[in-house]
Amino acid sequence: MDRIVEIERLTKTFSNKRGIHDISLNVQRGDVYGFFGPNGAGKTTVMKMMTGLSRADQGKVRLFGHDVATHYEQAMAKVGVLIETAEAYEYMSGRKNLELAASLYPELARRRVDEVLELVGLSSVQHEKVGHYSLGMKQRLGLASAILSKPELLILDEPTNGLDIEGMVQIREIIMRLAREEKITFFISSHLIYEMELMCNRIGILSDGKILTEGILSEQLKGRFATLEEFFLHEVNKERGTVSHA
Amino acid sequence: MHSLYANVWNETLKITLKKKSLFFLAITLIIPIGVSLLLANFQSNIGIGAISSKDFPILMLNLFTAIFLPLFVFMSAADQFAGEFGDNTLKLVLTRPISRFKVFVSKQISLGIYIAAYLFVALIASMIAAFFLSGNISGTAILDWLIAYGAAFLPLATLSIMVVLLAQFFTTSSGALTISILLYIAAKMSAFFFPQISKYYPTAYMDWHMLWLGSGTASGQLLSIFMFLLGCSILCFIAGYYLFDKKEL
Repeated sequence: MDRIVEIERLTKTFSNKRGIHDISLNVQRGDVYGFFGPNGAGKTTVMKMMTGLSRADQGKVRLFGHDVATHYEQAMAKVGVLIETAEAYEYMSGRKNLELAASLYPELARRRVDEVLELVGLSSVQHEKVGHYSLGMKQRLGLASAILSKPELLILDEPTNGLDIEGMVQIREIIMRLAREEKITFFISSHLIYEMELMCNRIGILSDGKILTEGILSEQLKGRFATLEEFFLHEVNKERGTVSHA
Repeated sequence: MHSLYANVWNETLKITLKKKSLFFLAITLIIPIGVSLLLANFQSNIGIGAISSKDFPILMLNLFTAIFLPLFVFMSAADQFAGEFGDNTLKLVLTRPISRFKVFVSKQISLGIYIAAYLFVALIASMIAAFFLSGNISGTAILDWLIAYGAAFLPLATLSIMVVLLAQFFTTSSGALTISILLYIAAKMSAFFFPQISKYYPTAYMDWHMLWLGSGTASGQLLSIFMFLLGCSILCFIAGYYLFDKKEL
């Protein structure tokens, strides 16, 4: 299996002394990689560095073998991104937002915009200005924008953030369908740990800017833990020194 | 290069789809025609033709380059950079397969396209408006108008590049816009109090199109101003890109 994401000794320290330290991980083609950690652990920082939105003090990120810092266009050519909240140009329609993004991919068929609008269930409101969309609709538009280019890797940071239960279920179903039918490799952080347990085959747990554990999910659990949630809490509490047994 | 062309189009479209851009465009059309109708009425009432049709487009260009178009430049540059940074939409393009340099260049080019478009619209509106006033319009006069409106592009483009640099220090469009306007007013005001140093401000050459008019054009002076504005543009462009490239989202 070939490596889609290679992160080597990634380090960044902010002015408040927080940050990430010596993060290394790999994602293989076809993986659904769950990236977990408490709030403020550094998940978004890592994802921002993976997508060139932020620079590392040390270390490297390679996507499809290309260094993000030096060969950005090649590294991002097959990548779809949804980091933090799904922003869009509010003075444009949902469709126009997607058309703008689509124009950066010369090989993309014109009907692809219709396909993704259909997939996320926004066809009926495609001509409405995004400023009139609900939070759930914006999040679905963000997902549509991320999958627009038919990416081979999707980097999603809390894709269900701020959504109601119905919105969460819709986003989860779209993600599961994409993983199942389009064989997209996912690198995803989410607090929906039950759903993530169903989807992920590989996980990484981050706490206080450090990777606590990383690897194949089934091997990590291996009879010791009944659920991913149990394993996650054990690892985080072990790091904090509050739990000493499985 | 496809991504650069595509993003120039996208950035131009983004400016176009904002209501304030259309408002500015409408004002650009309305002001010359409105002013000429008022002048024609006033001049016919008092029986003196103080402003002839030949001079009118240049008079309007002075007004546009001193106040109106700089305001548009400040607003658009602030929106394109500080505004997008503030409302978090800059990441929409920065997470696509296009380098930051191309994003920066395409935004600058789109501002240049809009400056050229506004000058063109202002020229057409002023030419139409000139027919409401008394006086003959000769072919030489029309050539002068074309040259003056064309020449006005350079100081406005320089101003645009400078404001883009300034916008890198702000995280909101309104902050960048306010400071740009205040600095512009300060630069203009200082020309009255310190005329000897004002020539070192690029804003002092917003009316350099006047140097292109008439038969006695001083080519040496034109060249030195051109080199000065070009130098300022290059320096501000490099500094602006440096800051844009270092930006963390």
